[in-house]
Amino acid sequence: MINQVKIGLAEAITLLVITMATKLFLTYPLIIVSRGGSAAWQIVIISGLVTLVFFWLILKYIERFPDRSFPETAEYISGPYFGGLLVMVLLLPWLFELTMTFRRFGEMIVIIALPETSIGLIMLIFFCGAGLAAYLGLSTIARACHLVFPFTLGAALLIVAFSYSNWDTDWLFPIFGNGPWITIKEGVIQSSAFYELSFIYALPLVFYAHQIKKIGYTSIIVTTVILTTMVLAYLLAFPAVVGEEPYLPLYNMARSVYLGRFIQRIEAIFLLFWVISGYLWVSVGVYGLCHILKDWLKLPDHRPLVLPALIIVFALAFIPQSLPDAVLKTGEYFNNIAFIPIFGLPLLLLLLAVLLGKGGKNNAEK
Amino acid sequence: MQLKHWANKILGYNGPPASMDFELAETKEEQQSASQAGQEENVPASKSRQHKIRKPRKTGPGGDNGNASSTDDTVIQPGGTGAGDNPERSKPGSAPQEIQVALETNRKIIAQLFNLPINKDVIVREFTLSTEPPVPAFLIFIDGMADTRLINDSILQPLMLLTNLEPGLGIWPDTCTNVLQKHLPSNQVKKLTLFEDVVTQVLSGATAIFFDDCSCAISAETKGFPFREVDTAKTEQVVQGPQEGFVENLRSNTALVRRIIHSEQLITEYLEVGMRNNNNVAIMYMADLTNPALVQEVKRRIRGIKTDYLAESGVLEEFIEDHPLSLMPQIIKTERPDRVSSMLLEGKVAIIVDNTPFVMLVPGLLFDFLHSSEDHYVRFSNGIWLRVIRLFAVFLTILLPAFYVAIATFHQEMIPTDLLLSIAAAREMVPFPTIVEILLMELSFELVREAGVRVPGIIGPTLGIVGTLILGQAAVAASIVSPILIIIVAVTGLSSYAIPNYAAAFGFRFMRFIFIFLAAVLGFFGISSGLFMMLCLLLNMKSFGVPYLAPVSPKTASSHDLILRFPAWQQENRPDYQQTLDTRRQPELSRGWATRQSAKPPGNKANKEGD
Repeated sequence: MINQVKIGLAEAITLLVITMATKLFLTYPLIIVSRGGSAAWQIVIISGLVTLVFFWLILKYIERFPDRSFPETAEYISGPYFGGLLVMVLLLPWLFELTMTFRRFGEMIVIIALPETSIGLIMLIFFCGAGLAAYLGLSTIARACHLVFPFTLGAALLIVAFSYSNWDTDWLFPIFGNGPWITIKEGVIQSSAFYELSFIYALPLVFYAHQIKKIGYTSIIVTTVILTTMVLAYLLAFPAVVGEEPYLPLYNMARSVYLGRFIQRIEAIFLLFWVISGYLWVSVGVYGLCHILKDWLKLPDHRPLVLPALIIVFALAFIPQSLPDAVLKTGEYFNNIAFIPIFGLPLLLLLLAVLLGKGGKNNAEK
Repeated sequence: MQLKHWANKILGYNGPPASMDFELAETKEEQQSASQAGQEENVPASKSRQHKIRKPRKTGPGGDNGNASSTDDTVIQPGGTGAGDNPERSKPGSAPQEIQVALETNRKIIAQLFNLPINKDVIVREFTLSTEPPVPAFLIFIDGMADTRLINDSILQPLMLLTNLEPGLGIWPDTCTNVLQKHLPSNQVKKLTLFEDVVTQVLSGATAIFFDDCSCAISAETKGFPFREVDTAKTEQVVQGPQEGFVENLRSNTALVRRIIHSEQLITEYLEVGMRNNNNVAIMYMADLTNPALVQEVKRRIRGIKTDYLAESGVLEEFIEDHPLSLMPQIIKTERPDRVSSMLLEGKVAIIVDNTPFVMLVPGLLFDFLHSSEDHYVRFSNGIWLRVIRLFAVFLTILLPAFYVAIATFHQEMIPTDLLLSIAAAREMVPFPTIVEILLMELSFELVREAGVRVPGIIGPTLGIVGTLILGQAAVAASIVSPILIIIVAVTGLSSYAIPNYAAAFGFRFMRFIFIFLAAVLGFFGISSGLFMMLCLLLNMKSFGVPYLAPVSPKTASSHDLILRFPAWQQENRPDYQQTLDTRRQPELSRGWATRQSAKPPGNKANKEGD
């Protein structure tokens, strides 16, 4: 049995923030703006607050079973069959989102940098990079997140700063966008954007138990601040109606940067950080998938699962026909319902545990 | 069979390599050893413990003399195995042969061990001690390794001429002890009882003396082989700071370090590597600083080497490093004694291989390869600037040509219009695509560099300059490459030479070609992918249990000496990742004179006198 890898506080926070915030580089601002109009930034804040509440409940679940992996807990509470089903409920959306994001990143590269290159080749390179990182393990990925985070954040903030000349506060009005009720409803639904938070309860043993609370709250708050800032800057730069149009909103914002004749069209430099963030996201996803499977199947190591998992993800990623027809729409559908399984699953287990009197002080029987 | 082996290797998973299991972490035992006396074997951690320099110990009689035994059937087989051609025979654990009482028997064993009389540089001199009654004896040494004048004056002359001063019954019964105590005016002598020790001593330049009717021999230190004098460092020159460098002689090298660190806590241990050449390897460390687990790991790796010939420290490096297939070195090699000393005081372990002017230091981390001794010898602001320049040079070396290829091939929109037009105009006449153009020039540059190193003497630099200038100028004139490319290649070349470590610079230069290729195929996406994979591989690396990118990742407490070098008086702590037994270099207030109290000492005699 390979020793359980543990990651430190700063690494864990940056890992979660990078994975949760990377969707900014994809279609997240587009979806949010299309739902909330000029009040899109309020949706982000509300979804952050909702996630904080959900995390408070998730924490109760984790504290009840501090030394068990998710499959162990699910099987312990609800038996091997229903427990297995619950693990599947966790894994299938995970696999779906992983596949779609994998494809979205490939499409993003095609749009931004290599319009004439086959998406197959691009995704093959992605396959290799993410596979390597997932194979090397979580400590490598977490350290990479920790190293890359300041640069990626700096690049994103530079885009915000450089786009200042295009800002117009008129675009923030009407202040309640499509209406307060819609904003609140979308705020709850869009808590699906914090989908990657499920990493905490799906792989609880990779964190130090006493740090989980701090990791969760800090990463949610930091992510909310980043997402809000970026969405707000996007709204200031483009009116909501225009903002619904581009497939890659942040890229569009970077393209609009013009700082005199010499500094213009600098989006290719930001591509470096976007790509690395994409790699980290996919690596974390693949690693998580393999790790949960490893725990479920009671294997000693996750590494033999990396290649098969990647091949499955690679194959599934090609099912959607094109970016606009399939990837965006499936993404939207996923966003509408994803918060139910990601937050519902630990709550269901918590409820069952309370009803059946399992966990907590009774956990010693393990 | 081979196919099956490779299929297993590629598809099968056999777990991480054993070297990855070792982590240099502070354990309870280490913490105890920091506070108490060192408990580890051969790793003294207390100041009271006296250090011992262990002499190189031969593990068994060696030598390729399989034919010698066939010439004389009556010869006693030394070591129970004879001197065969199988290197395994000299491994530790083979039964040692004790020295016999009869001189003639010993003479025959020695003849067999050293392949006499075929071996012409092994000299056996028979003589008689002028005692009453006379005692037959012989000595053995290797011509060229031993100082013959010393043998004549300090061994033969006293034994042949002055032993007749012995009163009474001569020097019998304990001949060895008597000779050692009364007749041998040599400063390093040793009583030997095993033939394997005799062989070791003789091979290292000592002279062994055998006496009749005596079951032991005496080894007298008579080393006298030629070696290069201490000279200036050739590959790590500095403007300010010590200029001397290591030489090939092991003892001189250890002495150069000891000359800087005057501490009884500086330990030198000797090991032997190479079953046939029995090369001496010295390990130096600070007993009260270095983590005992690190010392043990270094010794474990060196002792675990099974090879017949160890030529140089570079070969040993390949044997003991964690990731031998990586482009980046994980062991620091330096020829500067001052660098070794400063790193020993950081808690690293120095490994010195005999016949090599380069000393290895472990663990070697990425940022160590970007540091130079001079950073500490100039004012701290200049030191910071030097390091920033070097870091910049690393990025230029790896990425500048790749960026050019990516921009010129895929991302032309990034270039401001005026610059784009001028580049396009310069490239108008060039018939090759950018990738061919840049590979042509980069390979030419590498060719000039390699030729410059190989060409003898002073022609080298001349050839480099002439070759580069003429080649570049001619290539531009012939419209084979564009002028901007010459600038890129030249800047990249200069940057690669700004990296102070030769092996690291080589690694970065090689990476440059990988990035050029990735940029040519996939533009910035290729570069980003390459950077990500490189980052992951570097993050996964360890050098002797310490993560390669420490202290940046994983982040550890700052020693104020990483990219920014703080002033010497602010570098209070040693690097945290070294897990040293003593973590502090100096107290918070290292400049005692700067305090108000020290400015007004009670009864300041000097002030009074001055008044």
